[in-house]
Amino acid sequence: MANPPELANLIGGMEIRREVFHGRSPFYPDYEVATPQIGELDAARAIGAARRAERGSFADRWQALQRAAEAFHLPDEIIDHTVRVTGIPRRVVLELAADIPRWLKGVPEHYAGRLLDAGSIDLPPGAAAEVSPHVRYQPLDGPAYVLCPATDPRAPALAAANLVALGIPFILKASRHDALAPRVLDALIAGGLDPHFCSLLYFDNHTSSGPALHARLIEASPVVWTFGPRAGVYRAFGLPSPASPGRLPGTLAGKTTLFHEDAACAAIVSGGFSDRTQAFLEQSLAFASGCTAVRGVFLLEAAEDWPARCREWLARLRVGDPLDLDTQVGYFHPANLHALERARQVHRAALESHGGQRLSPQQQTPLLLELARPVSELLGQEIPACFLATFRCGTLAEAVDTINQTAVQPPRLTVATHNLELNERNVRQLARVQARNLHLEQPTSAVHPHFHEGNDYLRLLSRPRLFAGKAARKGK
Amino acid sequence: MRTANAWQDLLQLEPEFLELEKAVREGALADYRAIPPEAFAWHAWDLLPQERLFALIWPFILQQLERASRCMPRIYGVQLGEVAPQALRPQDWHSLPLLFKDDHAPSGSPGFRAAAAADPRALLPADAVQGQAAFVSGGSLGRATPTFVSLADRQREVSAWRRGHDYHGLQAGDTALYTYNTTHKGGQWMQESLLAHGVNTLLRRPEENAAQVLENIRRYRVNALFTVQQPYEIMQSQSKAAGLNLHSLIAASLENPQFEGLLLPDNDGRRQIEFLFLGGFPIVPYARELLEEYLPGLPAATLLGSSEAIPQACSTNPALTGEGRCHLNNLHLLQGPHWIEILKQDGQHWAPVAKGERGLLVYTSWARDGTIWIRYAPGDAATLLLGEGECPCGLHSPVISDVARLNPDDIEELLQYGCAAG
Repeated sequence: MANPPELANLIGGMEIRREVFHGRSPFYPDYEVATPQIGELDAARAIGAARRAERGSFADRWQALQRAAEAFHLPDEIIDHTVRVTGIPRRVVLELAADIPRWLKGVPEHYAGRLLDAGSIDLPPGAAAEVSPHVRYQPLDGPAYVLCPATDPRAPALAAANLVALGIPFILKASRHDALAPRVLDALIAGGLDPHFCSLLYFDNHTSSGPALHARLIEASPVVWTFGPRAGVYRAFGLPSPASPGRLPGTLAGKTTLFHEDAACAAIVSGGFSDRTQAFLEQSLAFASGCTAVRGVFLLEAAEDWPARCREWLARLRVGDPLDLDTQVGYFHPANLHALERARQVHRAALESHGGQRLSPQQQTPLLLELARPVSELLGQEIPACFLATFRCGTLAEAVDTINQTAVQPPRLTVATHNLELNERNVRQLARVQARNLHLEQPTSAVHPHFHEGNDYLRLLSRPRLFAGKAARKGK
Repeated sequence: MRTANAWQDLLQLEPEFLELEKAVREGALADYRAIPPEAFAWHAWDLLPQERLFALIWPFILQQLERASRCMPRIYGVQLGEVAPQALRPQDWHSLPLLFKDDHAPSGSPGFRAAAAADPRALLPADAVQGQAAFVSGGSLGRATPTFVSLADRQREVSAWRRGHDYHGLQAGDTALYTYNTTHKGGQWMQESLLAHGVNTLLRRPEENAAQVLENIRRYRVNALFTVQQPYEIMQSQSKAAGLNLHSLIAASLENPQFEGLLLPDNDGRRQIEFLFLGGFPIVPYARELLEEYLPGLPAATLLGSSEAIPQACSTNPALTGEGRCHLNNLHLLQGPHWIEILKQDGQHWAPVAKGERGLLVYTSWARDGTIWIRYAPGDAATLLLGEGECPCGLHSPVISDVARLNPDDIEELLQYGCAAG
């Protein structure tokens, strides 16, 4: 068994390793990872670093992100480590990792010309000229405290790209086994970002010091960015869930807090099961443990043999050791497979089941569930496992209604369409879909990093300012 | 702050001390109360052989023995019952039994905790002048017991503490901020001794947090910081400092760039604080980690004292005594107004330990109006690191180390086996 890479906290450009806490990969029991644990003073140092960070201009930061994208590099040992701790097949990890430099490079384009930055006010020529009203966004003061998940190795890069573009210094709390986040920060610093701008911390949530560290970092940060649903985030922070949904616990009151709620993805699919359809579904399924994987497929005027061909395709997907480059379906947490199995058993009267053979506690063959009636638990719940649940709808209106009604935690994250004609009538129906993202002929797994899972980061992390009036010129 | 090349100025015998010694030797001064309190600020106490000092204070020890027998019978009835103070000779001193707070079967000594619990005024001598303050200590094994001190006692101890300030390098005109809980005797004595030393003194108010304290350090140009640092694992219990410690001050400094250069050095290595006093606990391993990692080059020292007796010993400012071995938790005994001993059981006697040996910390308050301690072992032990005259710094008094509170079992072992148990 290979040795895990050495992890280090990164604060103000300094690597810090003190005591470690150990954990084993849930998928490779012999693979033990030593994670460096920060203390209170390390957290204090990270806060201080963020407060003294040089932000530079938007142009400086854009350039730093471009250079970071060039500098970003993942050695094989990091890829293998990521496979071992996530269960995601190696070929998929490579694809996910390829998103990172793309995001670093591409995210700032969405903010160009929109931020309140030096020289960003459009001044017409001439003296005392009229300034036509336009809006600029003033990013919030930092630091931002970012709680990164264990499930998506790209999450630190997504947060970092946006926060750097916006000029908000940040402190990342990485998942305990994450060896990819350090490479992102290394690339940013190599790209010219002030090392104080970004810090990376590891600590064990499950010790008595975990909640206290979270509390201090939250207290010091006007922005708290999480990648989980509220209930899970509150648990991680050691906070009680507030009595009223929608209300924040006291600790988070007054903060700009981002959550990424559970919200199962769905697709409206028409026509035959072609190679294009296979490619469409494969992109959504490849990262089956991720929240962007399609779960519910709503068939609309689909071919009669669509389910059979889908079934055959799923049966051909290569299930195996995630480290094997040929593997397409890797490992999943046993609890997720249990949840899927339980749902299948409970609703067996409503479905025909194909595949889903349990090969080990953490592995099963892909599952296709053809539903005779809409079942929320299978069509609208985020169960991180490799399965598709299909339901035939007579009309697009019925498909939209069923998508909305079966969402366990509305709104859905993403609804995608495939082979659906975009005429005026269909667009009117699609407008009723209760989803954060609507992808037209794009799989649910297509991530738009400046607007992910319904979070418009420009709007959430800045304040709009309207400029209008006259421009006074000095000496004229 | 005193500079290293001015350290030698402290190593001078005061002529006034020699006059005092002469007066005592000639019998012209036989009452400790005639010793002016400021005499305890003289460095001579730390520059002379222990035997010579003991000879000087012997008349006052006899004076206190007589007072203790007469005026504190519920405390000393057993320990001093067979002792005729005026017949006692200096060589008999080690045969005098120790006083313990709790019963100790091996030595046959009953403790006084029960008597004090029944009536704490048993610790107030019957002849004590009016106006005694009571400071309590040692409640972990039962009800805490008081030490009564008069205003004059306070002045003696405050003066003696000034020697510690000298050995820490403090001078008139320096500005100290201390975060101590001033309901503790140590916190009060600290303030008064600093003022007596000519040091501008700033007190941390209980409602001030670490950031506010740092802001005050900046505004008042504080150059000496007096604070505490507990072991990391008990940091939550902060009764002695009432909520603030070195850790929290470092945390606030790290978090807030505007405090750069006050406690933590700035990018150019400059720092406003020139000396750090860490009290209340030994300089614990966690404090040393903080010093090494966050405060490199900042001299730190401590002073040992308790509600019963202040001062007992102190380390010196390493910036002044570079060659000395009396740094951090290696402490020079500070004789006067208490006689401090490190003792082991030697048959029926309690005798001084030899160099390298560990023994009980014992004190005798020979210049005290209030509670008289005669060979009182409060439950601390220490190791004699250096014999007198051996420390390269130039102070003559012995150096002790590893001062620690014993649990009752450890006391049993030391009593039965002496320092061989160490």
